[in-house]
Amino acid sequence: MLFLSGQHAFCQQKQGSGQCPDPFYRGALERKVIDHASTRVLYALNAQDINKMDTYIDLGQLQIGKACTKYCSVFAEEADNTFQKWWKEHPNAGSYNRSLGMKGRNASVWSEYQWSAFFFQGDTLTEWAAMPYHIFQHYRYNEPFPTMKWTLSQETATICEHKCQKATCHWRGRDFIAWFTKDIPVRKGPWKFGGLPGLILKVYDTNRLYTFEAIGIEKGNFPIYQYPQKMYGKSTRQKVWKLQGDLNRDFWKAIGTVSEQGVLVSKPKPYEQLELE
Amino acid sequence: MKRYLILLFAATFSRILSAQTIIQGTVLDEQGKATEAFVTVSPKGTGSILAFADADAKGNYKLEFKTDADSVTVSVSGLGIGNQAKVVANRSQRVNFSVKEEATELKEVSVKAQKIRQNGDTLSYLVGAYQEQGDRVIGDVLKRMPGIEVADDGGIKYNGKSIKKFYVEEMDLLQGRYGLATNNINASDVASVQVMEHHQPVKMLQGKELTDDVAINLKLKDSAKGTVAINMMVGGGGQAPLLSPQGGKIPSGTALSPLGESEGASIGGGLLWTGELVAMYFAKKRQNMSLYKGNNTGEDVSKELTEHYSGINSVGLYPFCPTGAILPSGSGLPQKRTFDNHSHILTMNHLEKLNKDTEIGLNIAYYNDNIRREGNSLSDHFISDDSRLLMRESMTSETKVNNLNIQARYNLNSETGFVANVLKFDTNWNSDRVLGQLSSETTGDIPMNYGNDLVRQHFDRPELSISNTFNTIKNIGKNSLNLHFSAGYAHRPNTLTVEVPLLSPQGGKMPSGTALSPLGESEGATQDVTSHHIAGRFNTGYSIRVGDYFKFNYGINASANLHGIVTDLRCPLQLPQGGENKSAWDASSIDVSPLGGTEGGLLNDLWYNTYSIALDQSYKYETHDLTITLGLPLNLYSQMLDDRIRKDKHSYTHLLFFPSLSMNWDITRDLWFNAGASYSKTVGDPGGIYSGYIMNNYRSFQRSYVEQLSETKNYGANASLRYRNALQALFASIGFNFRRSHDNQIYGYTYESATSVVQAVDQPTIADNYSVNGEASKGFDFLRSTVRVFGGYNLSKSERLIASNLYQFNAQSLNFGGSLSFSPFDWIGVVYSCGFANSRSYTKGNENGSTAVSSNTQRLSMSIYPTQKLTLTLSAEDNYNNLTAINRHAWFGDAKAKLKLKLVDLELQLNNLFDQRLYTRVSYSGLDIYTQTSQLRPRNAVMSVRFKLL
Repeated sequence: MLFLSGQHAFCQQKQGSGQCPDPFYRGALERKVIDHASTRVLYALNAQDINKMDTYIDLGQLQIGKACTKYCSVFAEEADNTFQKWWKEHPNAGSYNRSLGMKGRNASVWSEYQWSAFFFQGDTLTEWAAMPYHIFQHYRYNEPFPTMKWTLSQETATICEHKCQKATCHWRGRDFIAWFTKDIPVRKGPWKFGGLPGLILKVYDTNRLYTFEAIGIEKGNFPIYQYPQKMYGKSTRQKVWKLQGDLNRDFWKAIGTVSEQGVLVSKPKPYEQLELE
Repeated sequence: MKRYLILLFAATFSRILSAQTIIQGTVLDEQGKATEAFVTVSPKGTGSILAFADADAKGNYKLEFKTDADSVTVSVSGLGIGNQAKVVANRSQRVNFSVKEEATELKEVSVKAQKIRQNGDTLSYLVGAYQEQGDRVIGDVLKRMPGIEVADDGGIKYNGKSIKKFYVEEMDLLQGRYGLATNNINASDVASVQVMEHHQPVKMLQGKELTDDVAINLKLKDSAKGTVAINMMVGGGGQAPLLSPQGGKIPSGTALSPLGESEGASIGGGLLWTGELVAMYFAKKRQNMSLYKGNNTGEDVSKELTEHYSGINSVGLYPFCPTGAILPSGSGLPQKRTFDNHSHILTMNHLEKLNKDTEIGLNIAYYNDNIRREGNSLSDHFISDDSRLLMRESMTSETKVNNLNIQARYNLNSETGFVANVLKFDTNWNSDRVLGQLSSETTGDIPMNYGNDLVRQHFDRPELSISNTFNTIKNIGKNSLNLHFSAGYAHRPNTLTVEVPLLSPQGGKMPSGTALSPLGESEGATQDVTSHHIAGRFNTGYSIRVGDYFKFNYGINASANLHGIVTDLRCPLQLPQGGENKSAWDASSIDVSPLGGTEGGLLNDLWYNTYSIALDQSYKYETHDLTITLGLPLNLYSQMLDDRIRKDKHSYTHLLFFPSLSMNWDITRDLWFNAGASYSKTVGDPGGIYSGYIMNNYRSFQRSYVEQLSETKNYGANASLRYRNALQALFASIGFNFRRSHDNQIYGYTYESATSVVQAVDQPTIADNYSVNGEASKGFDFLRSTVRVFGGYNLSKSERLIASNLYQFNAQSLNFGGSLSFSPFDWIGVVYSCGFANSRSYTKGNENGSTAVSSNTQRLSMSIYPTQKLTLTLSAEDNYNNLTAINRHAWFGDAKAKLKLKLVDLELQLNNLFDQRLYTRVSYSGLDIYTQTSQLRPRNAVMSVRFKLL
């Protein structure tokens, strides 16, 4: 039997010193609806207990729309919605909470795997990367999709009530194992994963640092939001990837903190980024 | 066996031989157009996909695969077209599909995971997730938690905001002295640290009045609750013996220890000790934290008693005392290098919950210290362009500190009512005893040498204050009324006694060469200052939002401050009266003062009372990238001066208006601009209302005989530009600042030998100050290094009245520096930093006669982590000064090792490795240059061991 349960002591934790971005400055109030999805697939990221959402690093959602498909954090979107509602109801409050809504593990801590949204349109993937509090600068860039070259295996397993087939690939420095179902004819998955003949319901690297696992498939009418473009400057994958890594490895240094003694603050921590290149 | 092998081989071979099959074709819709779809192939019946391909823009697809199966299933799929499959023979062929638009029926899978919704403002940090092996107390772990900063003084900030409450199990036991908790509660006893944003401590206002305050709560593990825990630390060490008197010579040539205790003169003595005992009890209805800490190693344990916030906003009490002893001034080095202490702190904090909503608390803190300072100073005062006063002084001082603070409080905090009352009682009985040797001379056309004299000072400075603060909140309809009253009384009966031969009528005659009178015979001067302060305050405030962009804040502040001051100077000398300058030391002719006789010249008995009612108002315009704030506070300020010696009563009432304007503008995402301007005016200053002389210290006598109160108008403007681009790791900022002050009075200085006489004179004066500062840093991938540079320039222009001459004088200073940090390996980090400063000042018309002071410092530090249980830190620094006669470069080195074992923690500190004994600092205050040489703690080693007693 395959080992498919969620808990792995050595998975990468949320551990940077960055705080989740301010909802005002990530554009929560100026979002526009660009499409609607009739189906969304929910994924747990690095769950300690797959039955408890507050043990996830993130709860992701793949929103399958007509014109575009989006992968983003449910926690982040709920926080945006709650903030927007709160802002409307309390126009005189004068201040607001930065982290309203549903929360996962270490909710206040920023992670690029929670605070980036991915839009899939044709052969293009666009990452909208919200950076932690203290930065107030967010970025977006395009890259081709899909870029993973999968090898199919004949192994099967049932995940999220669907029969799945195994596939493997080596991509950007790591070896990944994905489980996809041909029952759902969508060639995507969580985060940047995709390119298989069916939806990916579970994917992880062979070191099990990162594990995305589907926990539900919902039908409904889900608006697909896009943040205002002016708040997300155009950049490149290399630059955004490097900054995200630096912010996790040594946040205070990456934001240029200077101590009272005039010395640059550096508190490095080991960090395994999902993409190694 | 052979047969089987052959069979196996044949089977494998046939697999290899099974030729590659290519199936291609088109996928078109009913109109014959291409559609978004992909095609898969699997062996018939299994469902396992062998290969897959997208249909291209023309609808063409091509599948290449190998299988032994006789026939295969070719399927076309796509979200909008459903699923269509054809079973065909396993051979290369064309298979075309014509698909219909059809919604794919997806199987819904309901989410079983338990959703957690948290709309609250509380964030929890699990201590275990952030604790590292070197961490002992909760303060060590707090430093690692994202968004939390712990400053050197123990103050905690969350996202740059100072916390306003610190709770242990939701009770505010320590009332702002939370350093006691962070430095003493074991990290292993805390389950989680909760950060509460928008914390509203008043239950009645929760959900009604939003605050921007942050609070921290420590949630303890169950095992740490309801039990008494006792921790202990003991340590000891030694330091290098004192050098022979010659070896420890101070440049000036005077003996280092005028007190004559050369054996005991080494800082801290030969033996070093340190110890602490901490007891804690945290239960549901009762909390207690009591501890003792003491040392003579130079560690400042009194820092733990710092009140980082006040439990209740009590009125400030400042009984006025312009008198003090002259002590050897600080070295400018970290306190640990010079602090010669015998410190003890003892504190008891108790909290008792009477019921769910009511609690009473008692906090007692006692600090005792005996601080020795030893140093030598050289002051070079400007008298005129061609004449300067040089003073050399060797001093040894001993300060005895006894501070006792007691606070008792009652708090009712329920959904329906709020009452808080805090009674505070503070008393200090501190004293300074100083023995010094003073020599002074004037240089210039008529050089004078005023001799070499022994000076004794004794300043007894007890102080007592008591205050009560009451706060209640009442609900009136939808609004709530917040009433806040605070009143207090403080008293200071202080006496400064000095014995200076110069002051004595027999021996104190100038010029040099006169025999010193034996100390026993010399008469001293005594200054008594008895001051009272009675203060009361009431305040309230509210804010409203208008439209989307405007916010108005209003508040009312009323306060009354009554200062009663009685001073008596008993001094055998004559001080100048009126505008005349006579020899202050000519004891034979004491003038009759025009201000009410001789007595009046040396006595003060007055009440100085101020009353103010202020309407605070500020208007804010706020959009996404622009904030403009206009402050327009109006203050009706009234003063009453009752001089009982001069039989003079005056009162003044002013309507004061302090407008200010500030702007924050986010120009682009990377660039910010801030600017502001303000005006303010202060009227009257308790320092400038004495008609009789007061001895500030043994070298300075001051009085103010002007007919009107001082008035100072301050104008200020500032602007700054910041650039931040994290993608390029580039950060830069530049700022400009301007300040101008108009005073209607100027302080005039007159020097008589080493004694200065300061008088306020009715003469308007203007001072200007300009400064520019900038800094930039850039990070590089190479060795994970970062480079930072900074620089600044300051120019000030002002006027000085010295010996009845008015001088226009300018001072300028320039500083710049940089730092470089890099880590060649994971287990080592290196930081190098340096700074340079140069300052120069001159009087107008004498630009070339000025002296420039240059100094620079360099520091190199290295942290090494050989194993996870051991941490080593090494550092070295160089301090250079161009005016120091000897030892221009002062090098310091320190090392520290920490080892954590199962039951005990060990720490070894080696301080001042290069065994520096003296350190000279030169500072420059406009016209005057001060050189201060301080004795340092010699090379020393301290080893400590820490363990849990209970």
